[in-house]
Amino acid sequence: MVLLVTSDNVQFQVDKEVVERSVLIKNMLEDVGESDQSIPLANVSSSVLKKVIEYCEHHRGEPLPSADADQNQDETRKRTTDISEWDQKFITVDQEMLFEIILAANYLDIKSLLDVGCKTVANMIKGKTPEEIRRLFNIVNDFTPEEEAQIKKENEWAEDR
Amino acid sequence: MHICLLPTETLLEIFATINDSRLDSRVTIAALARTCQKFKEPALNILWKNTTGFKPLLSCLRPNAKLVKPYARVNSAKKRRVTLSTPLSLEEWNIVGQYARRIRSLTITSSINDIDERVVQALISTPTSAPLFLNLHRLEWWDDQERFLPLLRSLLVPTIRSMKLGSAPSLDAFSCHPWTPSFVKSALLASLGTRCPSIRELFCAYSDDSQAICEFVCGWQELLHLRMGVLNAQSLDHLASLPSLKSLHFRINDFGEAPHGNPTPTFTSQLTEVSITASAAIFTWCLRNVRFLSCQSVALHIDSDTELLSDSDDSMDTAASLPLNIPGLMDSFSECFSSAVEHITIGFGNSSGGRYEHDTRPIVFGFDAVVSLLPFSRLTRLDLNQFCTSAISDATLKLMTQSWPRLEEIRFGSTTRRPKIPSLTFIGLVHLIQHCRQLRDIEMSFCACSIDINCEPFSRTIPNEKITSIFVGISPIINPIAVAGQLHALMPNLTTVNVARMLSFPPPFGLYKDGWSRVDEFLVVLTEGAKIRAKIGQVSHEHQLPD
Repeated sequence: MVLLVTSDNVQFQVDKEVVERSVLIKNMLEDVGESDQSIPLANVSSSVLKKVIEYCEHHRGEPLPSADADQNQDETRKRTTDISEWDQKFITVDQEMLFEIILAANYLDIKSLLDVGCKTVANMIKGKTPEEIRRLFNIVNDFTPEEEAQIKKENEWAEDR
Repeated sequence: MHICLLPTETLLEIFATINDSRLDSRVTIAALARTCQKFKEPALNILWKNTTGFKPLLSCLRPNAKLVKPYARVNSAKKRRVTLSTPLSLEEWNIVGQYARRIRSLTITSSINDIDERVVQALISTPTSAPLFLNLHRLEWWDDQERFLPLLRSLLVPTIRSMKLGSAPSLDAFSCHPWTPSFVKSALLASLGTRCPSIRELFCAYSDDSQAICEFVCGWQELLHLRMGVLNAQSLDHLASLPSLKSLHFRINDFGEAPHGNPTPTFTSQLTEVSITASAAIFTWCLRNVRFLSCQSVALHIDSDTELLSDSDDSMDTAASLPLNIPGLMDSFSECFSSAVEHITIGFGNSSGGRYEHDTRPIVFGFDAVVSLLPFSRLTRLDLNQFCTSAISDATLKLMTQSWPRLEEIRFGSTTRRPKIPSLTFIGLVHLIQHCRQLRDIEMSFCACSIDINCEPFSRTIPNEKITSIFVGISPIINPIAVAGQLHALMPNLTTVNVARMLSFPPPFGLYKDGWSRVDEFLVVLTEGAKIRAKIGQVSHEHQLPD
């Protein structure tokens, strides 16, 4: 078992096999060797870590994407926007939690979880106009009308058939 | 947490997930770039990352800087060409430059004809000292016209790691339409090593075999994949010294005399995939002068342009009468490659300007050729489909299958163009199923007939459930009902037997087509019957009914 301590100082005892789905923690454990020392996760809160552990528990034993997978494979994996049924249910959370999970997956280096998060956000964005995206994520438009028009003009080709 | 608080690298991940180069995804990425300042840079980086042609860059210019003028009519559609009305100002260069810097992969196709000489001149004479495409990693150039070569030269930046050059891409990922050789192209290629020292992957179909062209690869130290038109002994010597090389595809026109005292080029690195194209006259000599110790996948393409065989049927039977001695070739093959080989493909074809095309003229493959391949015990895929295998007997096939127990795919003499009645019978097929338990793909010609299923080897053969279809070329068949039953017993999931598609079958093979159609019909009945029996068995087991 491995002891993880979150940013809000909550302790989690997690199976080594489960926690090693995080490349960051796996490398840490390899560096430290056998030890009872806890691992502080200053960038992850307890509510987020709970979700991350739930994900890792479910995917325990599945093969990890290899570090030297070639770029084409990586891009193909990213482009597949299909998400398994369990993952879809798992990631059905409010926006704040969704982005926290993505951030944690990125920090902990859990590629498959990062993929699920990115694909979920990508699916939310697809087909939307700038105004719809702003509404969806509550974003303030910080462009002047001229700036926005210039970007549109310079990238008009993207809308050509 | 708010999406704008995500780090830029994570936003890039998300935007990259959206981007699949389809129009609707491009439109979404362009919309993201206009959503807010935080999204602008990552979205534009993704949008421009993989770009085709120069049209996107030219569209950044103010309307009065560029003109669109009609230049031709093709099939009644008016073709338009972009030109520049005035030289670009520094401000305009800055705009073009800020987008060009985002391009990591640039593909040039025939749409290059949509720009005129003024645009070409402008692009090759940028006012800044730094190259326009500062971060280009991958370049695909599919155009044969010399007038655009200065533009190609200006794109050759040190950051390029992957390059494909040819006159047009091909649907087949392993070939393309090659460049027509010329002095200017040769000079450009000869300078590639110094212009792009970080190349990891090069795909260049070019048939000039001059010393300079063969040797320009000698400048690269970190090559991973190389698919070249022509290489010579010296360049092979250099490539053999590279520990990084994983795949190598090349043509060899003249191996020449090995320099005195020079050892045979020996590839001991992690090179796992090799394909060699050469003429029949030099193939054996070539294989005897190079060693691949770690190669797992081998493809040999033997040019049959001229001297391989005469058209006379009389000469087909005897390998000795051919300029290419098949047993000698196989013997040199076993010297050239180690027992690490898992895939072997040997084919014949015509090379038209460097491009390999299949030819189906028959070359006889007999026992004397098989012997050299027997030590390759790790073989999982064997493709000798273009050979005429009529001389291979059941006993020889048994020896082969016992030597290659890992075989998963076998293509053996079923696409030969002028077939002869095979010596192989159904017994040979039984040996194949019996000894190669991993088989999932069979293409083979044999005489299909009824056999005694109560005798060995049939009675001792465990059925193969992986195979659902086989290809038999134009195999002779007698007693289709019995053959279907035997096939079903050997391969219970077999539902389709494919035969060669020919407008007219050479005599006497035309007679057998109907026989195989009947086998197909019987197989449907047999597999359906088996399913019903299995269901009945399951039901009676669940309800513990007596059989």
